[in-house]
Amino acid sequence: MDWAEHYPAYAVPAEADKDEQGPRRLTKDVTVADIGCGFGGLLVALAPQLSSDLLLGLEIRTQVAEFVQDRIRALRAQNASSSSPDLYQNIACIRANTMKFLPNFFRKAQLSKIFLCFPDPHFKARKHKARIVSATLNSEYAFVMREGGVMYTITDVEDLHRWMVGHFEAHGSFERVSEEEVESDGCVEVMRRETEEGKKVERNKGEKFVALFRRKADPPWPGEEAG
Amino acid sequence: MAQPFQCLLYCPSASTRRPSLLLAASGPFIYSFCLQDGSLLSVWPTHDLEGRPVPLDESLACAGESGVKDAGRPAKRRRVSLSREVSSSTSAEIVIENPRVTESSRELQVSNSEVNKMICASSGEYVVAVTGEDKTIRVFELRGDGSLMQTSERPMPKRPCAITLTPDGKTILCGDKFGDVYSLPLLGKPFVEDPASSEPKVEDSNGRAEEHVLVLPAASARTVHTKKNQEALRNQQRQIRQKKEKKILNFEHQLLLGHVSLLTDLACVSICERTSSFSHPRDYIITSDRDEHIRVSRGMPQAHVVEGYCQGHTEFISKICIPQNHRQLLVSGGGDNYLLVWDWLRGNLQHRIDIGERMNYLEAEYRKNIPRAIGNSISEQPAGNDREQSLAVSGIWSSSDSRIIVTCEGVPALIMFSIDENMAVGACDCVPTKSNVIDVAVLSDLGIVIYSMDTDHEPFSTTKPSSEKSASSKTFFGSFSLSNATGRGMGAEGLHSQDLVGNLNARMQTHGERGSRLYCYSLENLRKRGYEEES
Ligand SMILES: C[S@@+](CC[C@H](N)C(=O)[O-])C[C@H]1O[C@@H](n2cnc3c(N)ncnc32)[C@H](O)[C@@H]1O
Repeated sequence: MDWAEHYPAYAVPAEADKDEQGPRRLTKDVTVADIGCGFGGLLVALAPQLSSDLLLGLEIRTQVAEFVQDRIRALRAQNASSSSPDLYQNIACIRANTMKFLPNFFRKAQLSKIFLCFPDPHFKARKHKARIVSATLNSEYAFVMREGGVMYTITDVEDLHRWMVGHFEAHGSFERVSEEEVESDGCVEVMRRETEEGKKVERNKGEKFVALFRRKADPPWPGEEAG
Repeated sequence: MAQPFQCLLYCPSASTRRPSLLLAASGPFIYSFCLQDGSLLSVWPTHDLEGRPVPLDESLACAGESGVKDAGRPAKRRRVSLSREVSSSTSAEIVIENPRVTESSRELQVSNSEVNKMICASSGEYVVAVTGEDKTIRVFELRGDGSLMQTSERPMPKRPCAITLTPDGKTILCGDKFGDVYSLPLLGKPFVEDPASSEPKVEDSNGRAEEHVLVLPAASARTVHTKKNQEALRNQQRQIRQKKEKKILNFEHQLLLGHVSLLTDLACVSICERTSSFSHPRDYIITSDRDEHIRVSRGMPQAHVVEGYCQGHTEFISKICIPQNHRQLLVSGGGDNYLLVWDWLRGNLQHRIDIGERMNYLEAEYRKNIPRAIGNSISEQPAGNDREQSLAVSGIWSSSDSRIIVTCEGVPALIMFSIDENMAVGACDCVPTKSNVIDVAVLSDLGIVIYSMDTDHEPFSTTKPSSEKSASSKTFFGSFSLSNATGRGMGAEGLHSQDLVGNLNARMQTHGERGSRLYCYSLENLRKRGYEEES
């Protein structure tokens, strides 16, 4: 994975990079992921708010991912000569099937935030295995998240909302974030308003269901409990 | 007996009560051989689908021609699990396909489904087997006379692809075609046919609670005729089957973890103080999938915690193996031309062992040396490979003398290398075999490796039928003596094991021709074609 290509402003300068063989490394790692980022509305809106983080959108549809890449390139160009030339340097998008390849992109405990905004609902029971949240997939999300990291979910499908809450609450590595904390989290409002899907639901006066989950510490190994 | 043995299992004598056994599965049958003299002790199931007893040993010589012909060698399409499903009159297609099934055969323990995997449990007291087509996990008691007595059959929701036992030997772990890994107690309660009203609400893999309503189809195969109607009927039946599928998880089980990809292999290992800094033994579950991933999770009851991944393969992984003497290492192989050796706890790649080159060399040698007389079909072949250049590792085993034994699909050879105390990997050796190797049993304590061979196809081919026609000239088993193995391979076979294998082969040759299904290679199907790349 050549990260420097996606975040050129954060690439380790070539002469300082000891490891000349591999792709150039970054001065910092990606810590925020938007899974199924669609057209990138959330990334663009969060870029200034989370200006000290690197944000990565992951999208399975090749054309959509390319659209987002073009969009980011254009935004960077627009801002290059503005008063904030660094704006949008911290966001990027790649094509990826996160259900299968999440661990190919992130190390253990690398991420502090993951967004799952308006995931495809897959209504039919037979298709539930295709849902992006499940008992077994949640273990992979937990793997790439650091302790205390937050999983953000939003959907307009109440059934899917209950499904996600059920599966994250049942998973040993997550706990639900309280109502007050949700409301005081700056990212939640952006998630409600700025994703393309969120805007669509807004226009249709639909309801939006938000739930956040915190990555708990791993339990001590059996027999190694403190004391 | 024309069909080769797709699956072998060594069962060391647990006590003086029974001799050491070699179990060998051919189609749906499991044969039990005594390893002292190569005699055939028993066959499971004891009856075929028509309810006739499967003759044992000598008696087979005559029965083979008439009575047992085709029995239990079903055409591929025939539906399985007759014993259960036939009794349901709603399954029109099953009744139609098997008009000859008799009432009596339903009571018998009959499996029509090929045995895909076998493992030994509780130091040889039990054998766990997977029959593929009916997706069932069967536990057998191994009795003193070498016979198998089935103690439970548990149909899984999806086809089991890999099974193993937890380090304490009490729990079966089963990975399936949909990537899920379930745990079930070794000696779980046998499947209850109809748990009446007190049916527990089974939370299936993802925690969805299914209500088990058995819907009767509005139409049967006799009332519908138009194409559209038939389509509708098929749909109804499919739905009913799905309902049944949910229903069959009606035994103690737990979903431990899952990949979003076909799960290809599974290992469970306990790491204790001696080899690590842990104050307590730690259990791990290692899983591999079709998407190049090897995942390391904690063992039960914390299997939801992923500890790491071993990344380095670029093709599907078909097999993983933890060497007996190096539990901190893992050998993996699949669709790549190389094997990888890992320090799996840290996810570090230790060694890469190229086997593609060696295989090509071996094949070239083989083609050079084929005498013209053996059959025109071969000499007419253009020089070069009919096997695709790609390899598919079909098995990885370790022996107590720190050797790793590897087989590849459609390759008549055992590939071997050893790992020394410093975890350095020795040179890779090839031991050519008569036909393509299918499965291997490592009899570590006896210093012997017994392997089964594909007598249906030409060496180095997964498709071209063997030119040898007569069953009596077929060699189903081969052996290799570990102690004598000097590395050069050829001629290194010990006399003792040769005698034994000669006996095994002789037993099977008296069984005559028995049906026509050829041994079927399937691993290459795991390789992704362009369009499904990364999907
Ligand atoms: C309904 S859209 C929501 C898009 C965006 N998050 C929003 O709120 O506007 C769901 C997106 O997830 C993407 N997606 C679905 N499965 C995916 C997967 N396995 N990996 C990555 N993206 C996926 C789809 O292509 C689609 O763009």
